[in-house]
Amino acid sequence: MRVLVVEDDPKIASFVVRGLKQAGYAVDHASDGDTGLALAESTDFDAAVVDIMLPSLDGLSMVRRLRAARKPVPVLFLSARSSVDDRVRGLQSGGDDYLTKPFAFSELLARIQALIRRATHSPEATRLSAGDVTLDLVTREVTRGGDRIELQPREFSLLAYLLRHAGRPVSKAMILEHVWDYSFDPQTNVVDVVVSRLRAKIDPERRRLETVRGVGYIFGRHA
Amino acid sequence: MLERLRQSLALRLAWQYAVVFALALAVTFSALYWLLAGAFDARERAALEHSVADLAGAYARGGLAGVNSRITSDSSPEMRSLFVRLGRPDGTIAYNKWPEDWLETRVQQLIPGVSIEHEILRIPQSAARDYTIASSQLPDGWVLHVGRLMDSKAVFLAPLRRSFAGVGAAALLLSLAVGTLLAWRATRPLRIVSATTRRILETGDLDARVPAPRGSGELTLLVHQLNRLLDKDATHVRVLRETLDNLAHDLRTPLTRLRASAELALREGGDPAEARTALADCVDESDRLLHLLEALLDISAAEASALKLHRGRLDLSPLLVRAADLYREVAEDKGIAVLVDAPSPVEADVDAIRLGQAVNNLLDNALKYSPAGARVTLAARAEAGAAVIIVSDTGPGVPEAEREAVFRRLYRGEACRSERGLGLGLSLVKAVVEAHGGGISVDEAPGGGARFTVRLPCQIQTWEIPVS
Repeated sequence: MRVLVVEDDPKIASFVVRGLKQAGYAVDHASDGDTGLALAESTDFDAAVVDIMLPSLDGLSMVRRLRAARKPVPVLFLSARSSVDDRVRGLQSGGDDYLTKPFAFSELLARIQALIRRATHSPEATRLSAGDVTLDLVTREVTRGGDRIELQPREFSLLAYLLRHAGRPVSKAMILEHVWDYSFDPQTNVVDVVVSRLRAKIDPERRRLETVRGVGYIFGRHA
Repeated sequence: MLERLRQSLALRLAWQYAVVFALALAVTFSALYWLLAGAFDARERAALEHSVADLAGAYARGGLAGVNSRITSDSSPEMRSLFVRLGRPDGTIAYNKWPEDWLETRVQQLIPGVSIEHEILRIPQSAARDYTIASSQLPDGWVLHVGRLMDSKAVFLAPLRRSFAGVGAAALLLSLAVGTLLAWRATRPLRIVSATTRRILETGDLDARVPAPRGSGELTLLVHQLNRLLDKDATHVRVLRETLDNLAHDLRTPLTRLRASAELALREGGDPAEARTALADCVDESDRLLHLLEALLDISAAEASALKLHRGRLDLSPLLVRAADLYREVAEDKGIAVLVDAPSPVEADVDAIRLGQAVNNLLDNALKYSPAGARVTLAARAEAGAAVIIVSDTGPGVPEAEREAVFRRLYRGEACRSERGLGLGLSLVKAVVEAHGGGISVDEAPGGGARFTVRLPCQIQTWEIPVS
């Protein structure tokens, strides 16, 4: 797996590059938009992390040109301050996800993994599973070790999201975005509440749905 | 000092006033002088013409003898002082009467028998007197000259000119003095404003205000506006100072905990699992700090009117439904029923995300402080000129003494110290609502419990379209 990092701030760049290398990725780094664009056009990357504020060519324009050149590489934008405007513009110009500084590296990693997974996987199966837990998206049937389990709609959506990213951590912000459709953090404990309800139903032994402190949750790490 | 005096607005105004006054005075006096001179002239002309007509009449009745007898029979000083001559243009003189004191050659050179028409000829005799001569054409070719020695106009009007000059000078001086006084008084508020601002600049005394003058003129308005500006400034500075104090206070505790956790993780020879937990605590604590900072920045931006609002006209009820949906599981877990009461659309110009955040915070707050079995109601109403959101609960309510304070940042009520939270939720709500030009208040709901009322002004413009 090869990831491109386009970031001009040397501190953030080295922090991201080092972290991604530790996580087992091959990483290329560019510190301005033009170099980043040239690299992305000549090499096939599995994902790109692009800062919006860049010298020479800003991140938004860079990705817009990349898309015009029909390069489908998944892009995660980085930006300084959480503003809805930036987010919308980022996604409009061809980005796939968006993260605001300051961010936790684990959040960045979780989002990149989700992006790569989404890009490389074939059209989604109607059945998701991890370990002894299965979920049918069509019949909305959930089983654990063959026993049927009744879930509330939100618990169902949460489990489906966790199963799609089985074995990889997802952050609370990612869950809020995909399960609640909230693109900003309402700063509440609603995620924890639904997670603990789901856990009570699906994982009374606390083996499957783990809390990763400082990151979020992971489902089926040991499956 | 002299330069300052020269530059003084009051003195400049007074001088300008005096100059205008002097011009007006000069114009008035000139007009008056001209009118008086004209009237004096007309009177003399009338008297002389009367004499001419009298003698011409005598000639018509009795010829030369008639004129002679008219003159000799009248011994009045007026008649004696008259110059009378009957002559023809060829120099023939039929009658000539010189008063004793007429020795002026220029009058003698006056060609007899030439009509001066309707003009009156004035020949100066001395600085003070003029020979004044009128004429009349008689029917048989003779021309009658009648003259008289009169005071010259200049002399006659001299006292008038003198008194004009005197009165004018006095009036000018008076106007200068009065003008200076008036201008000085009128610009007094300016000097006070200037003194106050200088004091603020020099001493940094933010509580200094300009004493408000009476009345409602422009300067009074200026003073009021300046005072309001100073008030606002002082408030901003105070809020900033308080924010910094609160921030320092509120950051100190989590930072201390952060440091303690990091120290624990660094301890040599410790249990690696324990170290990992300590590091995870560090991460949690940093997240809390980041959230706190973000919320404080939002509040500050909203309070300084720097919060960018993306306003659009929308129905408020979906916001309430969405908030209720977000907290559904939280409410269920606590055994609290959440009701949305918005029977008809309530429209307002709002930033959907910011106002949604405010509604979330109000609901979060209500859920946090209500016991199991309580009920929370989110209601929206359209009132005259306002859209109203009411979040009420059947919980313990807010004690009257705390109702103002709950909106202060970082304020935690006596009863809720144990609850998790930043103490910023309600101040963020207040800041967002006020950034929308609205207001928020809390009172007791019917049957107890807290009731938060958000009032947003509607700038609904209705156009009456006539139906034809």
